[in-house]
Amino acid sequence: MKKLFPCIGLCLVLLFVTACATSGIPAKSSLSDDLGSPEKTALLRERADNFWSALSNEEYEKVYYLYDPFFRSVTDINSYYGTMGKVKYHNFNITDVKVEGNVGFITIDVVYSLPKVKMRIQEFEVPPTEGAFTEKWLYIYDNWYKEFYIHMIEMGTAEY
Amino acid sequence: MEALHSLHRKLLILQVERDTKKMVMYLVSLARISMTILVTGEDRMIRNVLILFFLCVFAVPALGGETLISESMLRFEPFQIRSDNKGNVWAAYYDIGGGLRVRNIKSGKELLMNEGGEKFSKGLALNVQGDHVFVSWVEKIDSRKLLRFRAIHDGGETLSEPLILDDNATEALTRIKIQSTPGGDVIVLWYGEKVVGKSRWNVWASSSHDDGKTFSSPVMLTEGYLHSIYPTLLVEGGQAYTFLYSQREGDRKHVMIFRKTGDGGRTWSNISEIKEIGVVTLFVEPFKVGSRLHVFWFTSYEDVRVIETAYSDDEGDTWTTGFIEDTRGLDLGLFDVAHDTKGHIYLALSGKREGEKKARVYTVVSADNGTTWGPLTNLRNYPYDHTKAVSPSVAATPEGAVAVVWVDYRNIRSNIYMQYSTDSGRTWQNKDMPLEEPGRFNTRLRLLDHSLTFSGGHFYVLASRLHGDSEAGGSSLIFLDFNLQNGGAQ
Repeated sequence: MKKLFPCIGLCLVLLFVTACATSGIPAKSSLSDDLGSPEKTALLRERADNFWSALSNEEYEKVYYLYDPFFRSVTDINSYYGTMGKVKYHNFNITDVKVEGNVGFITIDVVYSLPKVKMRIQEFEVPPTEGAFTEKWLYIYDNWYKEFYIHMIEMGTAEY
Repeated sequence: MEALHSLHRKLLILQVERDTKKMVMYLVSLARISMTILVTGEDRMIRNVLILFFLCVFAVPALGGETLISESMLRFEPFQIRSDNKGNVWAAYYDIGGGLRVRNIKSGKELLMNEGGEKFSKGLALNVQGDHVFVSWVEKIDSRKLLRFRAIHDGGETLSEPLILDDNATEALTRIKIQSTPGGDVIVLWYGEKVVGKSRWNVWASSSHDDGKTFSSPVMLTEGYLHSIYPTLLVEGGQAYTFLYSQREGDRKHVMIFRKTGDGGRTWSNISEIKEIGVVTLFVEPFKVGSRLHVFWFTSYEDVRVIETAYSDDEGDTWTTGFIEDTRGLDLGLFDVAHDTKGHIYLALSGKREGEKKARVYTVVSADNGTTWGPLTNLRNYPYDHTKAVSPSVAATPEGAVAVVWVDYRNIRSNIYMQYSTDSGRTWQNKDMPLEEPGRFNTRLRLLDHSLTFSGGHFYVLASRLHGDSEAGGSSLIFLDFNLQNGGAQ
């Protein structure tokens, strides 16, 4: 029993220290008013890197939560899973990052492929191919999110 | 292709059924198929068909968005805020069950106006006159339309019995106006779809001379004219005026017509035409500054849009008309107008020019009671044009201060921003002021009605705020207030 008290005491001290540490961390301030500081630009690069790393590694839950909240508010994660995995991304390189207020632009080189897929009577297949494009990111209250956007019809779920 | 047809059919069904979640699932399926085809560089025809499908499908979030808005609109919209010069501020809105509620913002007292209503209520007109508040709406029972009216007296202590101003005789629609005088006259004006002769839509009025206890039978104000769809009403200095966008029966030309009454609506003057006009798509309430009577409207001549103005210094006998030239060619979204008592008129508007992707918020100011106009001024202080600014509302104080609020998407989520001038619109602040935490909420102003009012030294804003990032999550009606004391906004 005597040995138990120091353990309980240690646990309480650890709990106290943890609580203090948690409450002592200031809440991350919003950068909504920031027009394009180095901090905001670096954060965008980090988030875009996270996104494309997750996509290359087929970590689709991570990918899902990096999409803008407007898309996520109308698409649950299970529906999203069903759309993923057809196109494989092998490699990527972010070549440029530009921030204009709460809209960010990532220019990226990507190597992708499409393994053989059959749709009705037609088969499609794309070998590893290089592509380069610029994609839009949105800073929404607390962080950068990749805009869900279909370029073919120039429309996304965020209306701004 | 059959699979695509099938998906499209399902989407249309879901659109009708307003099942957003399933629609998005189908949408994502289409995205997957199209991505596959695009990546493989498949047949151009298939690509084009897919684009067509996407256009239809993506009308779903767009239309679905509007549809969902209209569903959530049942909770609040239309909502209105009104005040008088004694500091009374009232708001009217629909609750989630379709109850039409009127709330005194200062006391918090709230009254249910359509309790016991037989069926669905819609439309709203609100007017405040000292301790009296007047409300009118339409109740639809199958194909029968009742125009209802109810008054609040003693600042909210007494609620009168609901009246029926029209029992389907005019087939009243939801554009309703109420104005009143301190002497007890109340005029209600509306448009109805009862076909009269060759006219599909007509404007009617009914008046009370005992603070809304009893009303006259409806009087049609548009005899001899066709298809009058924008009822307007102004009561000022014992006179009431209406301006109506109509068509002549003979040559079918569009005209702006005018009538007035000097006896609280018992009798109306003959119809006079201000001028032949183009196609009107938006309308502003008329107003009077000193003895000058004004009316503005947004019109187009040969597809070129412009704000047109008319004023009269002789109570409507003769008119001077003109254009606010800087607005020519502007694809106008909405506009709102305010004035002080010294001849300053402030126009706030949103729109975009050809080639611009996003709408901006502008002001135009007249310092000589509408005789001349200053330049169209971009009100927003923001260096990038990736995001839009829309739905401005303007209010002025008697002392020469003016404030404009609008919905700004610079934070991607829609936030209410404010600008103000303390020198009658000559200069504005260097920085736009958010009235809420930037980027945290999606907040919107009511379209086609004043969202901002000034009373007792304070500006009041009525807005709706989504509970999340989707219309489906519901929304809250919110009040914001600020003042311009001590040279700044608080």
